[in-house]
Amino acid sequence: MLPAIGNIVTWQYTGYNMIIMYAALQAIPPDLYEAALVDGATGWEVARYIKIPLIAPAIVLTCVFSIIGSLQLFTEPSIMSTLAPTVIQDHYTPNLYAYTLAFTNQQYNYSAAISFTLGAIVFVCSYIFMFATNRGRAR
Amino acid sequence: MHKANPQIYMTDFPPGDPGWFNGLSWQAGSRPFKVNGTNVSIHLDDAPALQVANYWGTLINQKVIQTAPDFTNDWYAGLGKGIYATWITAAWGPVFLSGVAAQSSGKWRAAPLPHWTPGATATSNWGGSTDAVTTQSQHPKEATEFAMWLNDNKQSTLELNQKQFLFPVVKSVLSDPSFNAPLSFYGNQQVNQIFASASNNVDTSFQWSPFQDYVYTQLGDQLGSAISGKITFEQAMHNLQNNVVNYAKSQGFTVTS
Repeated sequence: MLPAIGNIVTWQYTGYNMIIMYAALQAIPPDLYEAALVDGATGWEVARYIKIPLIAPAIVLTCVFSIIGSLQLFTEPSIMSTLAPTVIQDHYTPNLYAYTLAFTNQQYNYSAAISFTLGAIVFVCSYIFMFATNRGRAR
Repeated sequence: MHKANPQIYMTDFPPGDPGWFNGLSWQAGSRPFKVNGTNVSIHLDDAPALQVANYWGTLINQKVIQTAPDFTNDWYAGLGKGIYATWITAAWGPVFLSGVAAQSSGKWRAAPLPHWTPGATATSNWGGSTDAVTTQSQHPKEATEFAMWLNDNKQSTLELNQKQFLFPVVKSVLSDPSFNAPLSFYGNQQVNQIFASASNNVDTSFQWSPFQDYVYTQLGDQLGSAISGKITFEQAMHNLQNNVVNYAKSQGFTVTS
């Protein structure tokens, strides 16, 4: 089930992430590419040594969005639950559980508590990720 | 039959359709709820329910029936191609089946549901439809009159049955010749007569709970775990009973179990 959901989500957000990285790539000064050409760098080496380091903040951004999106996953399990009811039960992801609690079980307060807790966890995870990637940057 | 051709199954046990399972337990004599205001007595794991659960559990473990979700494209194709020999269904089944499994026209017949004790006539209910007028309606009187007309008028109920496969709610339609006509999809059997006689035998002492959504979701979860082999079917019913009792108590009902 997880690879199936991963497949759907990957295709769904590839374009979105691509646009963010494409915009970041526009900010790279073209004379770096000319210097690389003079040095005889291949396409892969240009990507590895010029592009990726210079769009690192954009890559971090897309990673943070992906982490948040995964923690908040709801749509894909919800759709798949009719096709695979033995695998996807009402607590497959936190958001699915909050939804079931609110709209099926009528336990609104419990559902709200779950939503807030999930929000706090997302906040902590994003902060840890950004802290870890920021530490590596030269100051 | 399954040994002869491993591709086909006796029938399908839909894991995500607790209403179907509920109908079968009802027919076996299970009466899980008795509701009196906020006093609820809960016996989801009474003997008939366990009997039904164990029966289907054994069949599933022997792999003679499949456990695919129902009302999906794969399931419709399965019915049309003859992968499922039978379909245990309700009175809205005949026209519905002829719509979704059109390629198997002529090969189906209807028969009454088998009973647990020989010679018994108990039947039950699987789902249904209602027409409701909400409090936000700006013309509640007219809406109510229309809802009543929809289910009372002979022409309307005939069309509801023939075009929408809803079981008739008026006796005049039940005895109408067009309702009792032989259907070519079923080899010219008068299919609806079986359902008409079944509708007389539904034991109406069955009661629903005030939180049936929750019960159904939990039943679906537990049956799903049982089908994947994590727990036995009997354990699934006991888990269901415990979960529903705890839920009812936390929602403020006075529970006896």
